[in-house]
Amino acid sequence: MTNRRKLEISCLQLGLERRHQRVLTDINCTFKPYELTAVVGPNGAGKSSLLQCLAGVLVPSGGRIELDGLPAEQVSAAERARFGAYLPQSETPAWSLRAADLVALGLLPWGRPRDREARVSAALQLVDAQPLAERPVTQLSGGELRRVQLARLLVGEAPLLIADEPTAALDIRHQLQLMQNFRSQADAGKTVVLALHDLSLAARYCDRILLLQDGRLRAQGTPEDVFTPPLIGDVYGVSCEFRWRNGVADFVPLDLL
Amino acid sequence: MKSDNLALSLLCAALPLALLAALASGPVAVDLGAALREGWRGDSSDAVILWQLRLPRALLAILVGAALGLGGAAMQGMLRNPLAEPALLGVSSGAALAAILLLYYGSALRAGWGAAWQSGWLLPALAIAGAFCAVACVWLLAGRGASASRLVLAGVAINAFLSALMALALNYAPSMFAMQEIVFWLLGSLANRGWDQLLLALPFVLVGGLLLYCARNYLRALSLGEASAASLGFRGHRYPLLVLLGIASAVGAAVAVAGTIGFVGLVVPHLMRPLVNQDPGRLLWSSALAGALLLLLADIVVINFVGAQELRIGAVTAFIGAPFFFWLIVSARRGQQL
Amino acid sequence: MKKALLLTLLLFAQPVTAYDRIASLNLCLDQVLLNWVAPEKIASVTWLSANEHYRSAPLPQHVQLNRGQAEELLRLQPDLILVGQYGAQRAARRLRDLGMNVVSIPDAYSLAQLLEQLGALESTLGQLPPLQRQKRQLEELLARPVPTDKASALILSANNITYGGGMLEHQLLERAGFDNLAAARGIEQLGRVSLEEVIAMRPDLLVFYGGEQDFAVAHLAARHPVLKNYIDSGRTYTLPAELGFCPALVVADVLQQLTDKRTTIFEKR
Repeated sequence: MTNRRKLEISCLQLGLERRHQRVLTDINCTFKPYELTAVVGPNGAGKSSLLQCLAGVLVPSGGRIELDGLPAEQVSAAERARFGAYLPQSETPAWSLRAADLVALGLLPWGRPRDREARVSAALQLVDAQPLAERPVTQLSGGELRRVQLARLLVGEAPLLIADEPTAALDIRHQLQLMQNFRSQADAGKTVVLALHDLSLAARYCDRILLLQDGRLRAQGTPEDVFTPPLIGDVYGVSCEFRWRNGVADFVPLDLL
Repeated sequence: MKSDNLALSLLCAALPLALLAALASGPVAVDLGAALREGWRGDSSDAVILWQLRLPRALLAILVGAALGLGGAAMQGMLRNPLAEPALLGVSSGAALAAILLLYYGSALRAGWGAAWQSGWLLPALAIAGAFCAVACVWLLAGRGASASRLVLAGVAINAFLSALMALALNYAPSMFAMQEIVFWLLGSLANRGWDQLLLALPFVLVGGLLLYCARNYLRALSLGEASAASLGFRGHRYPLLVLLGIASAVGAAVAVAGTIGFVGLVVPHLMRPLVNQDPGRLLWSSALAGALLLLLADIVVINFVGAQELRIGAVTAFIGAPFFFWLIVSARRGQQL
Repeated sequence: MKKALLLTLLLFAQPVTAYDRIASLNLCLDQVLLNWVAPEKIASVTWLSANEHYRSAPLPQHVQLNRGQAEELLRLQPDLILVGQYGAQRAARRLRDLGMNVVSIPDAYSLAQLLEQLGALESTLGQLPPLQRQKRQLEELLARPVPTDKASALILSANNITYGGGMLEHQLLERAGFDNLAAARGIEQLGRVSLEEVIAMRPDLLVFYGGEQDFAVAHLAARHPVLKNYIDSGRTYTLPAELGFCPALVVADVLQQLTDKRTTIFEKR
């Protein structure tokens, strides 16, 4: 059993077809340790599909994914699960598990570690959800459930963290707290990939932005490179303004184009 | 938490007590102590009744009940649906149909496989094959990487088709006992079963249980949904196939020797879920335990029931299980109002 | 003179009956015809006799199958129509009204009724050697004294059914020198007996009913391993299936075999 601390994951000419429709075309990109990357783009641009390919949930129909230079097909499903943890956009628990039990499911790729309870409570603490530990998840509000699910994502040791719109359904305090969490995970050496709709949060916390449009990679680079009114206006069809103050970006959509 | 564990230990303790009750009940008064002392090879009629008639029947009730409870828990876990039961994927009707075809139209086989026919193992073996075929049909119909809802749809379709075939086969059945045998296949029975039937079903149920045990973490991960389960390492056809084969093996064998006994697979996982904190993994063994207990109790009722005809055990499980179900629904409703 | 002698010889060599086109509206009478009457004299039997389950004699090609409708038989112009005591009564009345020769043969549910039935068959069909042999054999067996030293027996039929007092099967057991344990427990007509009770009663002879060659859930009791002892030691007897629907055919043989069985049981002791 190999437990990696750091992982670099790359997409080479990645393509994906679902139900005879091209969802992703020729994606070339690399996600490195210590990097917090935001995947942004309009609805239907292919953000979730790209994340699912990275997480190993979907198998690309063209090109390939490499994990530290190793083609993904050569990695077993169990090992892949120890490489990367993934939180889908919406995840409805089928059974009314206790919150702590749901978080513990994030440890499944590592069997049953001895310090399971301690890790679970630490993960819950990280998302400010410790008081929820004993509550059945079906009785939680949308935001509470999301935080518990994030704790599930963070509880393992995976060097790669993938979350699909983790800030949706969260109040502003928990949005900030969550982004700070991901920031510190990245600073600790993890590779973090998030799909985000909130461009301000993306600009403020992320090292790199991937801008998708119609399944193609339209632009990638630092927030300053990508978040320019002409490019955003072209991709989203809105006129907008970015105000940068002490490294904190303020994104203001102005009008439809 | 504590009270849940207490309830589980009570269930564990209740099983041997129910077994004793089953051994003590029957139309003939038997000196249990003397029969036990006389042992397995005893020649007195008391010993023969205890060791050759009551014990295998009670153990078969435990085995079949455990298989049905286990199958139900696995099915509900895999389909993420609390209304699923093994019959939903055509396992029971597939097994029953194969058995019916053999029983009523198997005269050609009878000539070629005379010895196998006489020994009586051909029927259960074919019934298990029928269960596997039904599951294979569902799997093929649902297609590659099918979602749970598509599997349910395919299962309902295959199940309805198999039931229609069963009715058709019986309409043309030449047997004198045709009508009565169909009641057996629909409501099940444990009467007149011996060690041979128990030994026949045992390996298949054990293999099925083992397969499902291997799939317990898949079922746990699946409570988060299919995408999350895949990201946790449970990707591809391997795990769903493991569960389906486990169910087909365990439930198919149970149906082959005891007919289709309904309700156990549906109700038992429901009753046990609150006791194991809704964990689909622990639900497997606790449902097996509760299923065994439920069916053993039902069989005690059957044995002690006095009537012109034997009471069908499927009817009894419904009588015992349904009130629990009512109570569950009512208490859930009350919980919502508060 | 020579011609007359030849005719007499023929008369004695062949089973003779005064009728040439005989039809039957009753399953049991079908079997009597098929087994005991020359095939060319049979015009029609019921459709049930097409089922091999009920038939021990071959079914000749020319014999028509009827479903108990008057029209079917009218077309065949039989000179004798046999009907049972019950069933097909409406058709029998119509045929009688139309001037056909319809003879009702009484059903038999006991040894006395069987003798009556054989008598009625003899007087209707004439001197058929197999029929006479069967009747004579039965009369002989019934004339013997019933053995006083009894062995015990119990019938275990499909679905755990046993036969108690008042049944023909019970009479046969008693006549052959057996105590029917079911009747001793107060069972009249049919009753249920579990395997446990079979083991607890310990009968000397365990009697099955025929039709056991097919696997059916109904026969599970009879193939339970707990009865292995009985089968291995030869303490079982299987009643022929005909005894259930047409005892006249087999009753004398069954009684003889049961009597022999009792003798061997006593010899083994």
